[in-house]
Amino acid sequence: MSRVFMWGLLVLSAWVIGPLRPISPAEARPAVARRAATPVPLDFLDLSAERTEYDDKTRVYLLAGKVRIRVRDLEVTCREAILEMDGKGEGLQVLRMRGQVKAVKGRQVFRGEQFTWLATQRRFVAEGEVEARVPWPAAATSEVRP
Amino acid sequence: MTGLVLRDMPEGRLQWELRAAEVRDGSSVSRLKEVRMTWREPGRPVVQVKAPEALWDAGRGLMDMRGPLWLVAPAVEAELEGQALTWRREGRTLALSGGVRLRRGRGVLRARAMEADEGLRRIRLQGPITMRVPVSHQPAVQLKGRT
Repeated sequence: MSRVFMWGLLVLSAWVIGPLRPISPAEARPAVARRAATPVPLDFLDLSAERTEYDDKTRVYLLAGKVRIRVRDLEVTCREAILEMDGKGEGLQVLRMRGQVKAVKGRQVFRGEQFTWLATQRRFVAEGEVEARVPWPAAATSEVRP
Repeated sequence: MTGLVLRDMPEGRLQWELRAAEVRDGSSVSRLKEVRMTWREPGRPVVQVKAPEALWDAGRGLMDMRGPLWLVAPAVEAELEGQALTWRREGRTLALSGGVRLRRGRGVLRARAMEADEGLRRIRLQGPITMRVPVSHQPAVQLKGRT
């Protein structure tokens, strides 16, 4: 169970951060100012739902009913989502997805009851049991033993 | 009648003010044109709305505005658009309908209808709803130095 969880967390984090890529000669040059492992900036989330409420005191949006969230090529559906905004109420800090959460990216599918996206850290965290379906590489071989 | 200013000042404190360029008085309902209405809290406006026309039922405390409508809420730094707005004195609520568009900073929210308190501090929207929400950025860490 915990192996599934860790694997899910690892792959979900990679979804948001993006694929690993080789360092170009320019980036590899010593004595040059550079950023280390900077993720590609993620500016907007697109969401849809049947209804929503916003409380300016807590800076929280509550979305309910056929919630759909799109981040680049990742699509998440769930029963409800809670958006915790920053101090000005403008920027998303934490996104909590609850109830029959299904996250799809290409042929990879994750299902669970509660996922949290920590926007400022660009991290997905899955809580509870997570079912992951990740395509097996075509070139890989496997052996099943009783 | 041309030109009208209505003010609601319970206990001597201004709560809202309405200006209209033209007024036609009916038996119980007044028809207003070129309306500007401002809801206030001590020291500042909280919501301002401009409407081409409105119906004011003073007896029932009901203001019905017809669009296109444009609302500004300085207190929560938001702008809204819609086609119809109803303000009820009882409960002091606003109901915006006819396709609502709410802009706040770089974020945009669209809904079929909205209900809120006068200050737009608690908002309830009915769908279908679409939102585009900007993501907070953690301050970028820059590593500088020479090896």
